[in-house]
Amino acid sequence: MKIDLHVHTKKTKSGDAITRNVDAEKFHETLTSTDVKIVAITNHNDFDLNQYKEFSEKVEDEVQIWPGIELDVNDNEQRGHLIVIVSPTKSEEFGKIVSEIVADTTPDTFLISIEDVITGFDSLNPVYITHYQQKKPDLSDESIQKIFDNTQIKNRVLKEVTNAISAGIYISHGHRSIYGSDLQNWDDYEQNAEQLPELRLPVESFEQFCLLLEKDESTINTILNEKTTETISIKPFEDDTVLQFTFYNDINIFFGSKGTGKTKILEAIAKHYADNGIEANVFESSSEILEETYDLKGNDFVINLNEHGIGYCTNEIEDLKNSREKDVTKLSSYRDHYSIKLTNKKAQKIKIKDFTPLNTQSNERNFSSSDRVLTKITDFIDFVTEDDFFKELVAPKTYDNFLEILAIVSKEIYTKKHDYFFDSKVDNLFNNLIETIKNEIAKKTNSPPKPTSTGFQEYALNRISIERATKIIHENIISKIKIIPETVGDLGRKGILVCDTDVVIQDGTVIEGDYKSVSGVNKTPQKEFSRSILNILDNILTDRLFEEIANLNSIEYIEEIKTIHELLLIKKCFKIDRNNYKPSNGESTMLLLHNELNQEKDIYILDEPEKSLGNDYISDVIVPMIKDKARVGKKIFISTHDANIAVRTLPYNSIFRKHDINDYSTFVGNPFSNKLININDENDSIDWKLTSMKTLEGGEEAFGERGKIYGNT
Amino acid sequence: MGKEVKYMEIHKAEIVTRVDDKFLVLNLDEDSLEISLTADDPKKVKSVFNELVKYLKNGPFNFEFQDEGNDLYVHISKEYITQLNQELTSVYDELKHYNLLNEEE
Repeated sequence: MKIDLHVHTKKTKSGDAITRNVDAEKFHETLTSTDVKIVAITNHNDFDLNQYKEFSEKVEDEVQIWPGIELDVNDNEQRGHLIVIVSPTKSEEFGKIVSEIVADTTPDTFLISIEDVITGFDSLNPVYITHYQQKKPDLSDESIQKIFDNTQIKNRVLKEVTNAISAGIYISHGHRSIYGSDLQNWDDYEQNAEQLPELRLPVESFEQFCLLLEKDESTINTILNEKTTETISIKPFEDDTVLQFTFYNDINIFFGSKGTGKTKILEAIAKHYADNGIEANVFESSSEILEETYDLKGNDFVINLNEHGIGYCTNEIEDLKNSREKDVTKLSSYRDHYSIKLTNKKAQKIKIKDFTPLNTQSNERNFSSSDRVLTKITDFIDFVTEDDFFKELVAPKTYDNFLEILAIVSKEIYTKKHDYFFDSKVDNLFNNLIETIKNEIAKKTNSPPKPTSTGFQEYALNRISIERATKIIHENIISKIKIIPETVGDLGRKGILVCDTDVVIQDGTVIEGDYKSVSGVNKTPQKEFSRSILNILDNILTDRLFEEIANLNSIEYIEEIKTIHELLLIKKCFKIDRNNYKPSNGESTMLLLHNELNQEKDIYILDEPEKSLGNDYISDVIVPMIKDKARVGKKIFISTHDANIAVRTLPYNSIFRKHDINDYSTFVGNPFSNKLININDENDSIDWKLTSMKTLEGGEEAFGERGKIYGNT
Repeated sequence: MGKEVKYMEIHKAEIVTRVDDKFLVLNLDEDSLEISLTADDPKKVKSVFNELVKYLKNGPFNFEFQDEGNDLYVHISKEYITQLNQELTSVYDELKHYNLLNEEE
C-alpha cells in the first residue's frame, strides 16, 4: 500500500505544466494501475470541490482521496510552499475556507503568511507538509518552527523532501519527513508511483493516519490486531523457563547480543509447530549446507533406470553367470547303432523308432507369447470395465461395442493359446514316445538305439540364449543417461548456478576419478564386468565362450553385481554455463536463503539469514521477499544481528533479548510504537529505535538510509 | 514394406576318406566343414556347429547328401544330415524370432 500526499490534478498557475490536467476517467484508470491507495489532491493555491467530489465518486472505495492544497507562503521575505491536507469528512468546510482565503486573487498572485494559514486551517486538524531543503521552493527552519509554535497539532507537521533516501536521512536526524510525486505529467504517474513511500500498516482513514503520526498506541494496536496472532508458550532453555509470546502472521524479529538464546528460541518455536503437525524447521546456511542440500556427494541419489529407458537385466545377468555348455551327440552313437543290424522282426516293424523327433520350440514359444498377449488384453478389459471415468468419456453404445470387440479378440487369443499349448504337449508326448520305444527296443534286442538328434539344436539354442542375454546386457551398459540439471539459483552477472547430476554406466572405459559408485560396488569389478561382457559377446560362436564366462565369474565381488544398477557411477557438481563452479560462502547463503523463501510454507524460521551476505543483497532481494511473505499472512521468525532485516522489514513484532549482569530479559514491541516492553514488567520499557541502533550491525546506517524501506535504491 | 523372404539354400554334403579315416564334409559356399565319422571329437563338432550358426545368421540352408551305397558311413551320414537339416531349420527360426540374423548388406 503506497501513499502519495502531493498530487496535482490541474494546471492552476501559469507556470504549471498542462499535463497536470486530468479527467476523472484517466485519474481513476491511472491510480488503479498502481499500488497507491491514498492520494492527497494538492493543487497550487486552489481547491476545486467539484472536481474533488467527482474524482472521489469515481474511485469509490478503491483509493482514499484526501482534500488538500499547496499554498504559496511568504515568511520573512522568503517564499516557500506549504501543503495543507484535511480529512475527507471536512472537504466542504475546507472548500469554503480556501475560497475565503483565496478571495479574488489568482493562483499566480496568491500569497499567504504562516499565521494566516494556521488561523484559517488549524481548526480542521490538518496535516501540514512543508517543502524542505532541496525541495524547492522551501521554507526555512525558522518558518517551520513558526508553524510548530502556532499549530495545536504539532505531531502533524511533516517536511517534504525530494526522494526516499533524503527522507531516510532526515528521519534519522529526528525530522519527520515524507515525499510525494509532485506530479508533472499524468502519463508518467504509473512509472513514478513505484518509488512512492509504502505504508507498512494498512491505514484506513485520514484520522487513523494522523493517530499513527502521533504514535497513538491504541491505534497502532488496533491496526496490528487486525493481523492474525497466535500466543504460544515455549521452553527454549535447559531450565524450566517458560516464555510466552504472541506472534503475528507477519514478521517477528528476534534481536539482541550474541549468546542471549535467540537460536534456542527459534528451535523451540520450530519444535512447537512441528509437534503440532505444521512444517517448520530452522533455516541456517553455509557452503557445506548447500553441498548437503544438493547432495553433492550423491549419497542419497536414487534412480529408476526404467524411467531412462534402461533395463536392470536381473535375469539376463543371472542366466549368463549360470550358463553351461551343452554337449553334442557323439558320432560313435551313430556308429554303434548302425553297426548292429536289427534282426528282431517285430522290432523292424515298429516304424516309429525311426521317426525324427519334432521341434517343440516353436509351439512352446507361441504358447508363451500368446499367454503374455492375453494377460495384457485381460488387464486392459479390467481397466475398461473398472474405470468409471473411462465410461464417462465414451458414449454408452461405443462403450458396449468396444467391450464386445475386446471380448471377441480375447476369445480368439484364448483359443490360439490353447491350441499352442496342446500342440506343444503333443510334440513332447510324441518325442517321448519315440525315445521310449527306441530305448525299449534297444533293451529287448541288445542293439544301441539310434540317436534322435545331432545335438546341434540344443547346442545352438544354448549359444543363442547366451547371445541374447549378453546383447541385452551390453545394450543397456552402453545406454546413456542424460545429465539431470537442477537449477540452484541466480548468481546475477555470473549466471545461473545449476547442480548437474551426471550418471553413467561403467562400460569399461570410464576412468575419471571423480565418478563415484552409486551402489557401493567397487569401481574395479564394475569395469571388469563390462569388459568381460564385451569379451563374451565377441566369443559367442567361438571355442573360448565358456572360458570368458568363467572369467566373468572369477571377477572379485562378482556376486555383488546383480543388475545394471550396480554399474552406475555418479558425479554431481555445480556449474555455470556448463563450467564447473564452486560457490563462495556468501553465494551459498544467498542461494539457500532465496530457495528457502521460494518454498511455499506457512512458517519460515530463519536464523541469522544475513550471514555472509552483502547489504545490497539483503536490502534489495531478501527484505522484499520477506515483506512479500508477510503481506500474504505467512509467519516469519527471524533471529538477526542485521539492521537491514530488523529495521527495514518494519516488523509487526520485535523481540529483544537482553543479558545483563543479573539475568536474561525479554522485551517485545514494534517500530510503530517505537517501544519495547519487558514481558515480565510492563513498566520497564525501552526505545525501539535506540535499542535497534545500538544493538544491530549497521543500525545507524539502516536508519540513515531508511529510504530503502520504500524500495527505492 | 515387409522383410524379404529368404529362400532355403541347399548345400552339398559328402563323405571324404583320408587313409583310414572318413569325414562327413559339409560344403558351404567357399568353406567346407568336416566332421569325423570314425572318431569322436566333440570339440571339433562344436566348432563346426559354431560355424553352422554363423552361416545360419545369413539365411536358412540345408544339406543334401549325395553319396549312394549301403556302406555303414553312408547310413550314418544320411541319418546325421536328415537330423541336422531339421535342427538347422529350427535354429534358423529361433535366430529369426530373436532378431539375431545378420542385417542385409
